[in-house]
Amino acid sequence: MFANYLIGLREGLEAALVVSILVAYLVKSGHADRLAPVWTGVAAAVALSLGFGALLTFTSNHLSFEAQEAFGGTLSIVAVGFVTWMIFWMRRTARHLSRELRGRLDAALAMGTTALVVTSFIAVGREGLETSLFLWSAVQATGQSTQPVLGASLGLLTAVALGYLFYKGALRINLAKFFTWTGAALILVAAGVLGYGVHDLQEAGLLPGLHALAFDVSGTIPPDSWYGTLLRGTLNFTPATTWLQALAWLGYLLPVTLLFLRPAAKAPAAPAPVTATS
Amino acid sequence: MAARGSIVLLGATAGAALLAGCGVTDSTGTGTGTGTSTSAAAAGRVAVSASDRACQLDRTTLEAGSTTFAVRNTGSKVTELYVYGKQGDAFTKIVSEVENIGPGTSRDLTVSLPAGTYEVACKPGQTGNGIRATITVGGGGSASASPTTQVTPRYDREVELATDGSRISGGPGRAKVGEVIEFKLSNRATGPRTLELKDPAGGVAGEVADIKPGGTGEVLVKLSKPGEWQIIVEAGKKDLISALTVS
Repeated sequence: MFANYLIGLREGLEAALVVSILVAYLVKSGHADRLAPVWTGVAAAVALSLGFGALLTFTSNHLSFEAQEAFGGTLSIVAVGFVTWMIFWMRRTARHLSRELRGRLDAALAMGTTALVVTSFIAVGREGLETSLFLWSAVQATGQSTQPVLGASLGLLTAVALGYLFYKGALRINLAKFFTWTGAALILVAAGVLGYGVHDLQEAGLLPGLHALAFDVSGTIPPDSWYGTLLRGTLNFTPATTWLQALAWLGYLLPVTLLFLRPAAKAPAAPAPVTATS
Repeated sequence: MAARGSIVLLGATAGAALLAGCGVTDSTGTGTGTGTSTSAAAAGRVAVSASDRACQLDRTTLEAGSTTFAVRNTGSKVTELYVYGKQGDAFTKIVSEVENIGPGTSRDLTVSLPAGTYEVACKPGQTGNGIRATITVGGGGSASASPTTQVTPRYDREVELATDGSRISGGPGRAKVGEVIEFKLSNRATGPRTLELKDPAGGVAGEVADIKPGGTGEVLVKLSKPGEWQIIVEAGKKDLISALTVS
């Protein structure tokens, strides 16, 4: 049961983290009324994943390996794009927020509605199909044993609960800290997702170097241990990492971190040198 | 509200199109259900029992074409199943895989395999090279056969069975280990019948479903293991069983 629990936890953790940051951001910036697009994206992803998972599990339909990897790999890379957008969108609107240019913030939020739906949709949907296939296989096994479905559900619920705790914690810290820390967390998450996507495409044979490992620490960090699970669930850390995967990870992490940490550019259209009151 | 609804719809449609576009396929293929088709044997099914220490396949010789590996995780660790093809002189090319097979659960992996030699690996703990088993696909090990080549089923003998709904007639009773037999069932009952062969461990070695009344159905089975096999004719609740001693 514990092994099934850990898969559920791992598959749900990353999505819970990204969604909780989005929600915390909207609530903290006084736009709790804009939560609907986020929940819409989440609900659509869950419904679609469960539906397709059921179709593939309970009928004789199946997804070819190439389709499965192309789906996983492509969606991962698309997810990186949206999470990156989210990082810089939050950073930009944060600056407007501190300058108290509420009008601009509202404009940015309005533009972001579709993006909010899509971001939360992809954050949940990326691993959604695989998670739902796993969940349905656990449901199928209930004839013999209820342990798998119990473990899997508890794992997913734990991921949601951790996301909620993260959200609660994020509400307490001040805005400046919130942006720095969630931004850093999201960059790490996105870099991991990119590495994962690259690995998927390597497995499919679309990218070379599947067997050229940069390192293999499976001995010290077994993928099925609880810490291996947490590292995989949040940072997409794989104990056996290929060179290409490691390069993609660094190639994303370094420039994006530099861009993120660069001092805020002076706002050209700022009407007056209003000093920030905070 | 209307805008939001249409966005969801858009997302759902895009997802559906994406999945449909990249190859959701029906693994039963053609032939099943017609009752007289021999392609039921070509759409092979391999039962894989994956524990923490072992990876057992109920057969290692397959016909070219669509094969479904039905993996059951009997161990305590999460496992994965990989099918590897040859790349150079090593089995390193991933042909297909299924991940996240939790303890106590089963997952199917359906893959189209051209004739040749492959390695199947179970990976308990989701790590390492896995526990490997070699499988041979296609007749005579002709690795050069193209995926579209129809492999003619070859068998040692044909066994003609018949059922009137109350019993199975024509059961051979005994057979030799390693024999490949084509079991042919004439359905003289009033409703559709399914013919199934079970090995001594209770695993399904072959099946032809829904043979129509008045029709025949054939299934090719290799008697790989000694012991008490079963020839089963299914129809609703009541199964007819004819014992087959393989030695």
